[in-house]
Parts: sequence; C-alpha cells; structure tokens
Amino acid sequence: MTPSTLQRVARRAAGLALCAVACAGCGQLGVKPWERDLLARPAMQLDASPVANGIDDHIYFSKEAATGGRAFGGGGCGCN
Amino acid sequence: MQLSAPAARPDRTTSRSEASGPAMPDRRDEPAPVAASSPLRAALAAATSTLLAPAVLAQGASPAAPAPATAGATPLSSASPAEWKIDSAVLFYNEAGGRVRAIEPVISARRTDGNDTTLGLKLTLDSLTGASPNGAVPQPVPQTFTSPSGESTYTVAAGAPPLDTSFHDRRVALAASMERPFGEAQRLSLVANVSSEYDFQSLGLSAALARDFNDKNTTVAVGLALESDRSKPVGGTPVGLRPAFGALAERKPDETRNVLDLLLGLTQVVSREWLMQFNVGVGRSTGYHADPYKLLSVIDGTTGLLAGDRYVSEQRPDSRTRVSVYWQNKVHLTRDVVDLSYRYYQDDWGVRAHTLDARYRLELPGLAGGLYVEPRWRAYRQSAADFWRGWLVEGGEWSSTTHRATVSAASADPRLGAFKANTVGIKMGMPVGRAGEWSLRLESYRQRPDRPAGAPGALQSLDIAPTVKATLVLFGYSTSF
Repeated sequence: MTPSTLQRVARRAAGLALCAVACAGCGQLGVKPWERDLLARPAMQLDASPVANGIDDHIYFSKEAATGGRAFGGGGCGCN
Repeated sequence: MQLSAPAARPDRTTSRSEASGPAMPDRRDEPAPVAASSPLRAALAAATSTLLAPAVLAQGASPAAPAPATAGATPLSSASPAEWKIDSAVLFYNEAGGRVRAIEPVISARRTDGNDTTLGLKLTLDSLTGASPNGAVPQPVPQTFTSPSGESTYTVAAGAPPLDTSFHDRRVALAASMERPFGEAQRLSLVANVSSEYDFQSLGLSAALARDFNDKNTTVAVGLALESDRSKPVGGTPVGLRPAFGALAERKPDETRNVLDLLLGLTQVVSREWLMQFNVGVGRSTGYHADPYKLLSVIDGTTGLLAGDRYVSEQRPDSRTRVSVYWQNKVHLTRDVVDLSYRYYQDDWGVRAHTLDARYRLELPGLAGGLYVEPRWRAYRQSAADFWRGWLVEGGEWSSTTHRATVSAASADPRLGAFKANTVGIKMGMPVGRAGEWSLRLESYRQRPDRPAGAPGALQSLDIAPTVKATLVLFGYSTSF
C-alpha cells in the first residue's frame, strides 16, 4: 500500500467518523433496545480479547514508534 | 484504556429465552439469543437482555490499556451474586536470526459485585533473551563492542548487523483496577499499575469517565493517565552524543520521565449490525527519552568505514508530544464478524504512522463446540524521526577532534527509522463452559526498514537495513464463575 493510498484512507476514515458524530447528534443512528441481540454477542465487543490485545499493544510498543489509539499508549515498559 | 461501547456487555447479558419473564440482571456470560426457538421468543429475549444489560465493555486492567472507561446504565438490582472472570494468556515471541525471544504469561482476574462494581487485578511477567540491534552500522570487517556493563565484549562478524548479545530482561507488572457506576448513565474507572525491570521502574495512574446518550447508542468517554518512569541503566546512563567507549565516555546517574495522556472517545451504535468507536489521544512526556544501550557509528563520508571516535552514544529530545486518531468498526455479517480499525499517529519528533488492522471471525457452525477461526492482517508504516541517522559522518555531524556533534540529537535506533511492517496470522477459538474460551493464535511479523539513502563506500554493498522477522504464538484461556 503506497503512502498516498494510506493517506486517502486516513482522510476518508476521519471524514466518515465525523459524519458519524454529526449523525449521532441528530439521533439518526442507533437501534432500539430490543434490537441489540447481535451487538450483545461477545464477538461484537470492541475489545473482545482484552488480555490478548494488551499483549499486542506491548509487542508493537516495543517494536514501533507509534503507540496508543485504541487505549493509552506506553504502559510502563522500558523496552522503547 | 478501552473506551466504552454502548452495546450490551456480553458477560452481563441475560439470555432470557428460557426464563419465565423479566428478571434482575444475572452474571451469565452468555451471548444474546441469536437463534431462539421462535421469533417472538427471540424478540422478547433480546429486548429483555438489552434492557437489563449495562452497556459496558469489560476488560482486564492492563498497563497498556489501563482504564476500561466504560459506560452504561446502573443495574436494576443489587441482589445478584458476585461474578468472577479469569482471563489468561501466554505469549511465545521469537525473532529470526538469534534476536529477541520472549515468553510473556498474563493473568487477569475481575470480580463484579451486586452493586455493579468491578475490581480487577492483572499480573504480567515478561522474560526476554537474545540479541538486540545496538544501532551501529555493519562493516566489511568484524567489530568488537564493550557490553553495557563494561565487564565483557562481544564481536560481530564482517557484514553482519551489530547485535548486542548481552540483551536479557525480566519484567513484572501489576495492575489494579476499579470500575463502578458514577451517577446517572455514567461509569468511572480507576487503574493503578506498577512495572519493574532490573533497569527500569514505572508507576502509572489513570482515571476515565464515560457517559451514555441517545438511548445508549452513543457513549462519550474521557480519560486521563499519568506515568512516572525511572531508568537505571546497567553501567550508568551514558551522556548523549559523547564517545561511547573509553576515557571520553561520560556517565550520569539515573534518569526519570513523566508522561501525561489524555484520551477522548466516542462510541456509536450505527445499526443492529454495526458498532464503531472513534478515539483521539494526546500525550506529552518530558525527561529522559533516549535508549541508554543504543549507539551510532562514526564513519568516513567517502569510504563508509569507521573513523575517529568510532562509536557515539545516542541522544534524543527531552520531550515528546504524540497525537493519535483511532477508528474501529465491528460489523456483524450474517454469522461472521468483521473487525476493522485504522490509526493515524504523529509526534513532534517527526514520526508519522498509519496502522490498518483487519480481522475476520469466521464461525464454523458445522463443527461442534462453536469453533471459529479468525484470520488477521495488520499493515503498518512509519516515517523516520527527524533526528534519525543511520550513522554520523566524521567531519559532518561529528567531529573526532572536539568529540562533539554538530546536531543536538541523533539516534540510529531502527524503531525510529522509516519502515513498513506486516502481520499476518490466524486465531482459532473454542468456547468452553459459560463464557469461557480456549484460543490459539499464530502470527508472523515482518518489519522492512527503508534503506538509508546516500550510503557511502563500503556500506553500499552491505545489508544496512535488515528485515526483522518474528513469529508469535499465543495461547489464551478465559472462564467465569
């Protein structure tokens, strides 16, 4: 993937997220309480595997310059 | 900190398809009744579970994800028995070429009481051995370095990437967390974590508050984290941009670093099948940021061979400001689930990074036990820090006459250089018992550095930007009772 492609993806992501925020403010998005059956599945949780995700964050924190985003970055490690 | 989602929390979700009527939320970790025996029963069960389920996403306390800033309604009952959830994993990490090997077991225990207050404890052990790049550039002749302790030497073969073979470390980290309802439609979470290595100690505190809006379809969260680190390098802290070895090398006492992080999050239910999260994080750290074990080579600008003082300790700025934007989507297809996230990162060191992470959870209903497989692809790329150098040129950035640099900061740490990385892997999961799961994850990580431009003389024919290849195996087990 080229940098320009990634930058386009980034711009679109930001645009879509802003749209989501705007729409949320209007109450256009969302479901009724009885429509949450799929959202309640463990597989649909944003952090479905917290311990594994914590390990992931630790690995990439120690190998790459970027950190954070999903959660607080760093994490008390002298590895980077 | 994982910011909250207004989706119903699975481990609080009561599957009422077999129940006689609305009841208090129990602590069963059953998913909602996706496939109930009749449409009416399914609708009733889904509605009941949703109405009673606090919109909380649970996660264990983690140094990397300290505060589960969760949101959700106050439960209707305080009579439910306490529930325990145990989450554990062991990571085996192995880099090719005799580089880093790590074993990292983690265990997390959380207890939720009848007042919907969750207390958690998480223990992480980390054992690393192997060899780590010391920052020097390969040469057409063998190179000998003094180990950080100053008590031994190691020699690197001609043309080989200089790796410090004395690399080993053990880390113990402990995190304690508390999460509870905090007023109407709000949740508060607090996390404290300590981490200790023989040459590094860290203490962190974080707090997060999340609030639901829009019929729990929107959750806004704000989190604050503080971290205080102390670095106690073997052999003392090298003074940056000084000759690394010999009489001219200078050492100083322990160094400290303080970090302040702010994270704002928005979680939005888009539809019955689509949940998204949008985070913005800002962090500022001050103090010692250098790697005390990293060097730079001083080379002749024509021949590419070592010159003058030969090796110099690295120096980084004494502050760093980071910004990240993160967007995650969970999309439920007919049966499978897609997890797609993107992160943009930049800091005032000049690093810009893009991370794309895609997972596809493929349910295998034909097999007993609810087995699933989850392929994953992660793509990452970053630009180099402004002060990153593959080497210092004698008479250019470095003078072996004055033994001083003409630049204020320089590092050859490959992690601050420009590179692309890819992770490809697959996870297999097998639900067991009530909300428990066995899992096995196999992944391959490749980090391909951009070759530094303008390599002089002998460096042109050497692999001065070697690829890092790592294999990850992760066993996981979780249960609740």
